Amino acid sequence: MNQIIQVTILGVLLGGVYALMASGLTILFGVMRVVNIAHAAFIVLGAFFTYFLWESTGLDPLLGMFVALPVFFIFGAILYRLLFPRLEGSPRFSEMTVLLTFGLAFMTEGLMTYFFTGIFRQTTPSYLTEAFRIGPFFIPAAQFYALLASVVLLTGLWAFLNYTHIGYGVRATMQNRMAAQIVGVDVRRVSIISFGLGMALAGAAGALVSFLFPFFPARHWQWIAILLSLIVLGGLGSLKGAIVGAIVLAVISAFVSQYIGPVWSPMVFYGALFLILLVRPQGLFGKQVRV
Amino acid sequence: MALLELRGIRAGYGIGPDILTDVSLDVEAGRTHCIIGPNGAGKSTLLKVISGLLPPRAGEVLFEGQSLEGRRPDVILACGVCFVPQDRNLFPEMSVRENLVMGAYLVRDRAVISERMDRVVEMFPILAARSSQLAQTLSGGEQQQLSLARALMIEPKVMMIDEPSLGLAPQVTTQIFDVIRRLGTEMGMTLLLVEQNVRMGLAVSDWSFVLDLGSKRFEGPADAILDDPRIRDLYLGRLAKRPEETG
Amino acid sequence: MTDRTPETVTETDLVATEATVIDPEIARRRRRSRITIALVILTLVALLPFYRSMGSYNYVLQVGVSVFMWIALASSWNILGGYTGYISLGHNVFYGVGAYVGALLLIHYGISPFVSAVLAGGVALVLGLLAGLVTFRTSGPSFIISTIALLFIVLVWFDAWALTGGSNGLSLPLPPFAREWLRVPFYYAMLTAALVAVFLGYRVQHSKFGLALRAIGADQVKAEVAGINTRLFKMLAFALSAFIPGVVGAIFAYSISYVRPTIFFLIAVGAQMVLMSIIGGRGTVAGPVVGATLIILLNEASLTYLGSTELNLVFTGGLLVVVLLFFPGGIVGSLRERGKLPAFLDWD
Repeated sequence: MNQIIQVTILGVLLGGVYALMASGLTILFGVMRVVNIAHAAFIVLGAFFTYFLWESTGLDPLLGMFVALPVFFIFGAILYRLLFPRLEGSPRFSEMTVLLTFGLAFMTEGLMTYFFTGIFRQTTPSYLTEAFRIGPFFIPAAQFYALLASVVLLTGLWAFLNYTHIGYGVRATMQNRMAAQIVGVDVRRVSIISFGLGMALAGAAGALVSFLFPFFPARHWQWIAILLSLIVLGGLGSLKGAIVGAIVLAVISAFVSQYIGPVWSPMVFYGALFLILLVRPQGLFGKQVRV
Repeated sequence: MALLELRGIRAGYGIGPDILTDVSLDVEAGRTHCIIGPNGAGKSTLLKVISGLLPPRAGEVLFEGQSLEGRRPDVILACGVCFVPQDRNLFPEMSVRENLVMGAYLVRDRAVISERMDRVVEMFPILAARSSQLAQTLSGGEQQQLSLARALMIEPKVMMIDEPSLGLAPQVTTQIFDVIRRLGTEMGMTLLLVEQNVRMGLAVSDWSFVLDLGSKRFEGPADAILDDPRIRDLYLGRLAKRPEETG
Repeated sequence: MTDRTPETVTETDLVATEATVIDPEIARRRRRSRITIALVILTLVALLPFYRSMGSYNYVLQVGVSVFMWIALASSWNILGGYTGYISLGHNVFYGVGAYVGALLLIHYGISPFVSAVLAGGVALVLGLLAGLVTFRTSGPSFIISTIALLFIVLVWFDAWALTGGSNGLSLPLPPFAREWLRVPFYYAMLTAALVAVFLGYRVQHSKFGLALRAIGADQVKAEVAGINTRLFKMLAFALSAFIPGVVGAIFAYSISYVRPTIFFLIAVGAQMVLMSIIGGRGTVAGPVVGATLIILLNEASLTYLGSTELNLVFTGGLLVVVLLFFPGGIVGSLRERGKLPAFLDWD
C-alpha cells in the first residue's frame, strides 16, 4: 500500500511538470488554432538557456526560470509576427501550422545541435540530490520544487486569465473568436500576447527540465509526442483537460514504469490517445467537431 | 446626412465569387431598418462588411461621414457600430454576468459597467435570474436575449442584428421582436435588421431594403413594402433579371 | 487534362492549379514531349549500372537506390496527404514495419526480402487499415497527432520486444551476390518500386478514386453529401499509401543488412517523406518525384561539401517553412500557377 502511495506521489510530481508543458501548447491552440509541434523543442531551448545561465553566473535554475519567462515571451511574440499572419485566412490553418512548426522544430533542433552539440546536459543544483521524508514516503526535493514552480506558474496563468482585462480577452478568444471580435477584443493583439505566453511557459518548463532530466537537442521528440497525445486526450484547446490529463496519465505511467517497466511508460500516453479516439474523439473536455 | 452610408459595396469570401455586387443604402438615425430578400442575397455578408469582419473588395462604408475603410472590427465597435451575428455567438463557458461584462470590454470604468448592467438587466429580467449560469446552459430564446443585452452594454449608436428569430420557437420570437421594437421606440436606437421572417421583421421596422443576388433592388417604408408588386416577383423568381430589365 | 471540380480550384494552397491550355494541338505536343523525355530519362537510368567504368560506381548506385526509394516513399505519402489533405506525420511506421517483416522472414525462414517484399507491403497495408479505423475518427490536427502516436507506439514496442531484437535490432545475413554487383539488384528493385509508386499516383490522379479523394480534401462535408463514402475512401487511400513503404522498407533493410528502431521509426524519417512531397508539390504526380530527387541530391551535396548533418536539419526545416509560407503549391504547383510548368513535369 505504501508503495502505491509512493508511486502516486512520484506520478503527481511528474504530472505537474507535464501540465505546465502542456498548458503552453493548449493556449496556442485554444487562442490561435496553432498546433505547435516545436513546443518541446522550445522547452529544450529553455533548458539550454537556463543551463548556460547557471554555468556562467551560477544562477539557480528555479530563479533562471523567472528570467526565461520574459525572454521567451518576447521571443514568442516576435516569432508569431514573423511567421503566422501569412497563414491566417487559410482554410486549413491548423494543419498548416502543424507543418510549419514541424519545420521550426527541425530548425531549432539543428541549431541547438550545431551550437551546443548533442552531449547530455543537466544543471545540478544542490536540491537535485536531496529528498524530504514524510513518514514512510520520500519526496525528491528537485521534483517537489518543480511541482511547486508549476503550481505557481499555473496559478499565475489562471489569475491572468480570470482577473485581468487582457486575460478576459484571451479567454473570450479561446471560447469564441468571432464573438470576441464583435465585443471589441483586438484578436490580433490577443494572438500575439497568447503566443508570447505559450512560449514563456515553454521557456519556464525548460528551466525545470534543465535539472529534472539530462537533456540534449533531439530529446524534444519524445516529449512532444507525449504532450500532443495529452492535449488530444484532454480535448484540444481545453486547459482543464490538459492539466487533468497530464496528472492522471503521469500517475498511470508511473505505475506502469514501476510494475511493468520504465520503457513502457510513454506507451500510456499513446495508448490513452488511441483509446480516447475510439471512445470520445473530441477528448475528455473537448467540444464536438473540433476541426 | 445619414448615420451609416454604404456606397457601391462589392464583397466576397476568400477567392470565391462576389456575394455582394453593388450595394448602396442609407441608414437614418433613430429608425429601425429591415433588410429582407431571398436566400443567398448577401444580407448577412453585408452586416459582416459593415462591422469590419469582412473587408469589401470595392465601395465604402461611411459612419457619421467618416470612412470605416481598413478599420478593425474592434475599432469600428468603438465608433459605435455594434454587430449581433446569427447563432447568438456567446461565450459558452462564461456566465451570463461575465458575458455581459465582456459586452463592455472597451469600457474601462468599473462603475460605468456596473451601472449599465443594471439598466440592461432591467430590460431583460430573465437574465438577472440566470446571472451566474453558464451561457451554454441557457435556452435558445434566453441566449438571444443575452446576445442583445450584451450588445447594449456598449451603448452603441447603431445596432445590427442578423436573423434574431433564427432557430427560435414562435412564442419566443414574439418576445424577442417585442424587445427589438422597444429598443427602437423606447430607446431611440438606430437598428439595422436582417430577417427571414419577413412579416415580423417589417412589423417592428420603419424602413425596408430588399436585397437580391448581391444588390439592393428597391427600398421603401416597412408597412407598405409588402404591398409592392415587386416583392411578389422577387420571391417568385421573376425579379431574377438584371436591374435594367425590371420596371 | 484533369477532371477537377470547381470547388478544388479554391484550394490553391493545397492542390496544384492547372494552366489553361488553349490549343489541343499544344496539349498533344506537350503530352508527346513529356512521354519522350520520360522514356529517355528512364532508359538512361536503367542502363546506368552497365556503365561499370564510371567513377565511384558503388556510390552512384547507392545514391540511385536512395533517390528511387524516396521517390517511392514520397509518392505513396502523397496519395493520402496530397489529395485528401489528411497529413500523416508518422508514415514511416509502415516503412519500418515492412523492414522488420522482411528481416524476420529472412532470419527465421530464409526467404529473400526480394520475394517477401510484397508480403511485407501487405502487412503494412493491413496495419494501415487497422490504424485507419481509429485515426479516421478524427480529422485535422487530431488526426496528425494520432499518426505520430502510432509511430511512437510501434517505436517503443519494437524497442522493447525480444522478437525484434529490442533497441539493438537485428542483423541480417548478407545478400548472396558477388561484391562488385552488390548494389545492382537493389538499384533495380528500388527503381521498380519507384515506378510502381509513381504509376499508382498517376492512376489515382486520373481516376474517379482520385477525384473523390480530392473532393474530400476540398470539403469533406460536401463530398459526403454528394454521396462519396468518405470513410471508405480515406481508409483505402491510407492503406494504399502504406503498401509501397512496406515494400521498400523490406528491400532497404536487406541492403543495409540491419534493422534497428532508430533507423526506421524516428520521426525525422517520416518528416522527410512529408517534406519531399510538399517541396515538390502536394497533390501532383511529379511533385514527390521532384521533391525526393532534389532533397536527396542536396543532402548528398551538403554531406560531401559541408560535412555536418545538423545544419542539414536546419536547412530542410527552413526549406519547409519557406515553402509553406511562400510557395504552398511546392515547385510543381508554383510553376504551374505562373504558367511556367515544363511539359515533362506536367503529369496531372
